[in-house]
Amino acid sequence: MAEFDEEDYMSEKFLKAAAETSSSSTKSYAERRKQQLRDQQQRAYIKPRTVLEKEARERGLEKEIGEENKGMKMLMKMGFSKGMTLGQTSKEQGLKAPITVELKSGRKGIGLETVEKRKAEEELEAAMAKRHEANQDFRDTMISRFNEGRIKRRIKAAAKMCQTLDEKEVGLFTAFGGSYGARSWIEKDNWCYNSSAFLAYVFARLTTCTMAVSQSPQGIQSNVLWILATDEDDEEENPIEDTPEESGPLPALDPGLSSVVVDVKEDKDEKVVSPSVSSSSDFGGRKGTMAERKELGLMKLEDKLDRLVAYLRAKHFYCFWCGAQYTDEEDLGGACPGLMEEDHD
Amino acid sequence: MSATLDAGKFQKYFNDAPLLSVPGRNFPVEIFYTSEAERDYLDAAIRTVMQIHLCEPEGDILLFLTGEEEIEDACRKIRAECDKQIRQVKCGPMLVIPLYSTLPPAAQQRIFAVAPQPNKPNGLPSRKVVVSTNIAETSLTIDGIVYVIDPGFSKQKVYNPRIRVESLLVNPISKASAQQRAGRAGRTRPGKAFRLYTEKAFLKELQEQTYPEILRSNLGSVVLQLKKLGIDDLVHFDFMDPPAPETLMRALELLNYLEALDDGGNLTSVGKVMAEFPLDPQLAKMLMASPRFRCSNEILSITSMLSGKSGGVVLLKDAWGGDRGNIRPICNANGSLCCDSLRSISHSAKHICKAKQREEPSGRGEGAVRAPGQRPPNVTQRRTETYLYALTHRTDEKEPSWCYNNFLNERSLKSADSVRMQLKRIMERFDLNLVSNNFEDKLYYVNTRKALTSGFFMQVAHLEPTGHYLTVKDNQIVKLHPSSCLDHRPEWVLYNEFVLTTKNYIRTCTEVKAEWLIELAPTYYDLRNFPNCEGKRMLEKVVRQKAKGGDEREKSGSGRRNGKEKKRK
Repeated sequence: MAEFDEEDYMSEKFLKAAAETSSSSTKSYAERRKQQLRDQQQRAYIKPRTVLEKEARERGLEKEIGEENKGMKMLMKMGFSKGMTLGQTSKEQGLKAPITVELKSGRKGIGLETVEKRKAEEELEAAMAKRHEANQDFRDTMISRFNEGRIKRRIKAAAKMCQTLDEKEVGLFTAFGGSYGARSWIEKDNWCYNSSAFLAYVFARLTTCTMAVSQSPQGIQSNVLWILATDEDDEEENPIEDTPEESGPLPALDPGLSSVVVDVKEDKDEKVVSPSVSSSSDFGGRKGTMAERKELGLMKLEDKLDRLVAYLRAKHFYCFWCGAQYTDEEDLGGACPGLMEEDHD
Repeated sequence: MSATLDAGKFQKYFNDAPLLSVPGRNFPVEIFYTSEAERDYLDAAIRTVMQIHLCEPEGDILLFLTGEEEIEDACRKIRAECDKQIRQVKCGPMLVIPLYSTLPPAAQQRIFAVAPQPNKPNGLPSRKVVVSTNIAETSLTIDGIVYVIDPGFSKQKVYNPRIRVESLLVNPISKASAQQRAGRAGRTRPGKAFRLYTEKAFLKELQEQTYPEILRSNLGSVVLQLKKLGIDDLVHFDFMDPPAPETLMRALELLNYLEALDDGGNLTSVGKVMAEFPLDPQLAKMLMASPRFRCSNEILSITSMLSGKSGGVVLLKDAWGGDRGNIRPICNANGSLCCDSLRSISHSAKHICKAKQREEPSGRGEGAVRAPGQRPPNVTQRRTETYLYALTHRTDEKEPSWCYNNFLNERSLKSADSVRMQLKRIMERFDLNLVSNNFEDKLYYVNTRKALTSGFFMQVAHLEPTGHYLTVKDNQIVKLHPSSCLDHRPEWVLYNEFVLTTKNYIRTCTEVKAEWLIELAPTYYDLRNFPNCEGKRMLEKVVRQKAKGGDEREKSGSGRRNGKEKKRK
């Protein structure tokens, strides 16, 4: 009993044993059993004489004569040290190791082995390259698919945030009661966005809205952003449905639709930059940006996201990457590490 | 001058001595390469021979191959192919002659034969084809060779100190060697050389020069000679081609264990005598130790035969109807070295005479009739006996007919005999007595084998429970060479050579005992620095028993059990 007490359970021995058991238990029983059988088989296999002979020979030929050898000791007394060669130092060097023994089998002609070796190497290389290429291709597609999905999700999130922030701001405008109409067509847009009538409707609606609240510039912006937010949302949903069949049933309309959004956004950006622009010129300007729309509709996903992020920063002092809203520009500039996602690592 | 010699190197070594070239009479040789590497150089060579035979004007062909077996195989195939072509296209006959060093001299002479007459005048030419190892590259010139076929391979002997093996392997030749081979085609008139490899392979794969022999051999006797010449600093010695340090280490190690050099690398008194023998250090040591075991006569005979190039007795090839195993090293005779033979040599000449009588009636006919591969039982042993008898007793029987009747190679017998004479003189000079044990002595064979052990204790293999022989210390798996006559697999064998051909082989073996190893070479069998193997455990057991034996002797004959009981108490 006394002996038992003396055992130190935190000693090296115990810890090591514990580690061993825990590591072995990571394998399942089936795996362990298989390993065991394999080991048993290996142990039971008696190598043929020729193999044993060859192995022993090769081992022997590899092994240099060590310093425990009497001949080595005698040579060292004569001034030899390991790694030296014999002969006068001024002359060319002698052999360092004995001439190698190579057992030639068969009657292959001179040079055949090199040719065969080279051929085999080339084949192997080609196969490896092919495999690597296939691997690389697959990996690349998977990476790009993943990236695309991620950006789309981010666009969606950013757009949603945009919508909520705008809504918050537009709370004032809703109190005015003007929001009802806008909401109603937005809700309808699910069924009407496909028709070209929708575009006309949007513009009509938009102008009336802007006209109606023209007295308060805040209200104008909120309205636009509402459309922007919802449109962003829609646009976000749209490509998700459409990407599998790239040339969807609505190739003509789709860019048009997205361009509405972009255009409006563009429009609003202008307003942010220069609030003095009148609503009438705005309407006219919208037509001018119609041409731009198509171009912007073909914008890359990354650029769209950049735009949204930039907008959120400028308008709401909200950093998409921080996921936080700041009080003013100074606060944003001070607390947020930067514009880019990388800055937020 | 031989094209294989690097003249510039010699010039540089001898302080830029003036170089005087004396060009040989050589005609231009056109060199052809293959457009692609060959899948099978032997097939390609045979194809080329037939192509030359059918398409080229007259002139003899020289084909270089690697070894006896391959050459015989090629000769057979060329003959068969030629017979086929004669039937089909009425080409001229072809005389196919093999050439390699183990061929008896009479057969070697055939290369100078004249090509046969064509079947019909003005028809396709007939010719001679010599299929040779690289002995035709430099050692001898065959007249009339116009076409040379060079597959680019030769067998090379390379010693590796790491596992102490002598490898005899097929290797690509050097550029210099290829040049020399091609030059063989231009001896009598402009010729052609067909290289069975691409020009690119010639430029890129072949090394410039063949490795000089000093880089490829065991330096045991070289180091002993250098020491005898008084060279102390072997590390900075001005070698023309400095060998690998490890080769030198092994040589020093060997000489140290043989007690020829002390730990500081200085020649000992034993070493001084050893250096006087023109032999490998192991053989010299064995000779010096033999009077102690009272078997110097026997050891002298064995040494003279082992030092020959055949490493034993060469029997005439005809003896076994063309069987390949014509070399039967003497130490093999029935497992116990040459003991059985020695019995006959020294003491029962009668037995030999009887054996001879038994044999003579059927004599050579017996060998000729026997199918190849089927070895007559015990014939080796009997040959060895007669041979040793002849050597030891210097009878007058060594006439050509006597040798012939006894299936002995007269030439190797004579050369071994002259070696024996020479060695005997040296032994007499150093007061090494020539003695023999009484044959009736039970320890007669044991002593002879012990004498062998005292020289070759570093070349021992142990039979592991797995059924493989492992060489001591290097732990290499080896096999008894098929030429061995051991009829069982003793636990410990001593070998003369460890060679790597297609497998690891130990050649010329005899049985030894673990006790002798520990008794005769305690420093080498110091078990503290021994690699782990069954052999080590066996040796440990022997050591323990020996220690116990000593204890028991001290306790004046108390039995083992008693001893144990005493301990318990």
